[in-house]
Amino acid sequence: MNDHTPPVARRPAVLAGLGLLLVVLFIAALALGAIRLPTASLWLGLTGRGEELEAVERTVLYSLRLPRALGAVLVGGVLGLCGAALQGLFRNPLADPGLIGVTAGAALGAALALTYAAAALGGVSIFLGQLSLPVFALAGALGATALMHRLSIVEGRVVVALMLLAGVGLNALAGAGVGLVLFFADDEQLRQFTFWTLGSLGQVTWPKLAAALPFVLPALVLVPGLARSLDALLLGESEAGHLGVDLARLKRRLILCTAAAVGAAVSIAGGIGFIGLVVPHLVRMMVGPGHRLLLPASALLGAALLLGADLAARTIALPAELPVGVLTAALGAPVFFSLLRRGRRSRAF
Amino acid sequence: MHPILTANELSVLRGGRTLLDRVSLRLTPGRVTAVVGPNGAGKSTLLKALAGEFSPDSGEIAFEGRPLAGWRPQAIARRRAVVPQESDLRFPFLVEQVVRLGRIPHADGGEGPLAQRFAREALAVVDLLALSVRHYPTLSGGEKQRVHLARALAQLRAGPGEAAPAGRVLLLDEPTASLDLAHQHSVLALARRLAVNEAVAVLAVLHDLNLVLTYADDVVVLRGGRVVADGTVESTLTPELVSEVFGVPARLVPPEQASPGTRAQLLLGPCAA
Repeated sequence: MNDHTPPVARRPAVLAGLGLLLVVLFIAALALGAIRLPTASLWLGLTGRGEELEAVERTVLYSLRLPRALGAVLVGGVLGLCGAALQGLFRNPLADPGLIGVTAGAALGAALALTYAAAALGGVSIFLGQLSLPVFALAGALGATALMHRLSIVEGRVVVALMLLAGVGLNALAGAGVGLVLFFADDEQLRQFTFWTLGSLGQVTWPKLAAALPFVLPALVLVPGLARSLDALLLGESEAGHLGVDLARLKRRLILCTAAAVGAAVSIAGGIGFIGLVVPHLVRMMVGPGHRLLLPASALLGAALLLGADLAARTIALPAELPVGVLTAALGAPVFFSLLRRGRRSRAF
Repeated sequence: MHPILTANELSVLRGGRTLLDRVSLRLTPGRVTAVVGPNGAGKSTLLKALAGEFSPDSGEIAFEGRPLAGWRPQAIARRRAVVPQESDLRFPFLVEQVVRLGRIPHADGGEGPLAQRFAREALAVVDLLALSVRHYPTLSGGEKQRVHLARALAQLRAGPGEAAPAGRVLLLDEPTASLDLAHQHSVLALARRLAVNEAVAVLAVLHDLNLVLTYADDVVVLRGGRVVADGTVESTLTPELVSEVFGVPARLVPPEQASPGTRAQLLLGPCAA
């Protein structure tokens, strides 16, 4: 038993370690950058005595770094959590949030927002202000997922294999839509869209965070409670049913919660690749496949990785800033290839 | 004893084919019922219907006299366990964790000392305690099947605060398919002990008629989705019926030299002609 302690026993240690990593990175993300904030200033700022700071420090902390760091935590956490949950739902360790059409739908929404929204909607778009892009992206994400969900229902039941295929088709369709919209776009719009697809936390503001929160909360509150049902589902759909899991309800909840949360995350941060795919894998290697631990640990590690990646993206090439999605994909892709090869060797697919 | 799980005039149609045609069956606590029949007879379909995987196109399945649709899935899962023919679980759970999954319908949810005790006792029963911290995907086919049997055993244990279950059902889909000879006998002997000692109603889909003769009380013979014969094993599995249904010559060999209490065996194939 000694060197085979079941993962359950390591639970508090792993979660505490990841939590500590997150806190350390969070403080570093607030302190480091073009302007370095000393620890004393941070302490004042975070304990509600911001008025004692210099004006520049106050602006950097409250208007730039704090919303940006919270955005990284929220987006990274959501991508990690939902990636783990969807890999469980599809019983496929290579699933990621893009599979349920969220990313492609959000991209179409974003393209529309950047090009036609102002002209077509006039007053509504002005009313939405800086929120018009995230609102359109979220609408696109939810619309795509809803359509894919409809397409994968046969005889009243969601057929998971059909859903994967419908997702592929839908991604192609949304891609065609994006292409059509961009064909008529001007250079400035093209540039904005390109940067959106590369992913960045530079546009995160307090109003956007506040707008994203209601869409993210259901996933953060409900999905961890589905852990044991997801464990049962790893045995197979029939076997989960034999264990008393209400499959229809489980699938409905998972798809709704993850579509809303990932849609909101993508809409404020753009396309951030590979966190949802790679993070659950890394966590599984540490703690095994049980979702009681996998779900919260994936959320923590996703948040920590995105926070770290964003910190690197805006500091390694000062004064320039790399798109964080480029960084996550550039680091995530090699990990993905090695997972593919490992999976092939163990005949996992 | 009252039957615990009953199927009444069950019909299942798929893609224009009749998989089950007005099949009726009753499972009684304390008895082992075998389902036999040639390939395509509808044995697995019947088991899946009894396991609640789909609703029949006509007819009714009732647990304790109440239609399956009227039960909460979790409530019935505490009292009805299914051992699948195979499960393609690919995620690297430890063996003991797989067995604990059987506790999901119960209050302990598979965690804590009680779930661990039930899991370890179940693993001991199927002779796998030594492998409890191995990774499930590294096991052989037969070992995997016994892990799922242990999972079903853990599932049928009543937790604290749960009424001692009046009736429980264990459904086994070809439980001997990937087992060696010794484990075929030990698994069915275990099923028999569960029936006799703990009043579980056991249903097993089986191919080996001599295992049926040795371990089952009742038998349902299916062909083309219909019940051709059913009743106690001795009165139903006659050489005439076996030759007719399975298309092989059959001869009954009385247990003259065997130990007392054992049943007759069938000699099958050309040697019986």
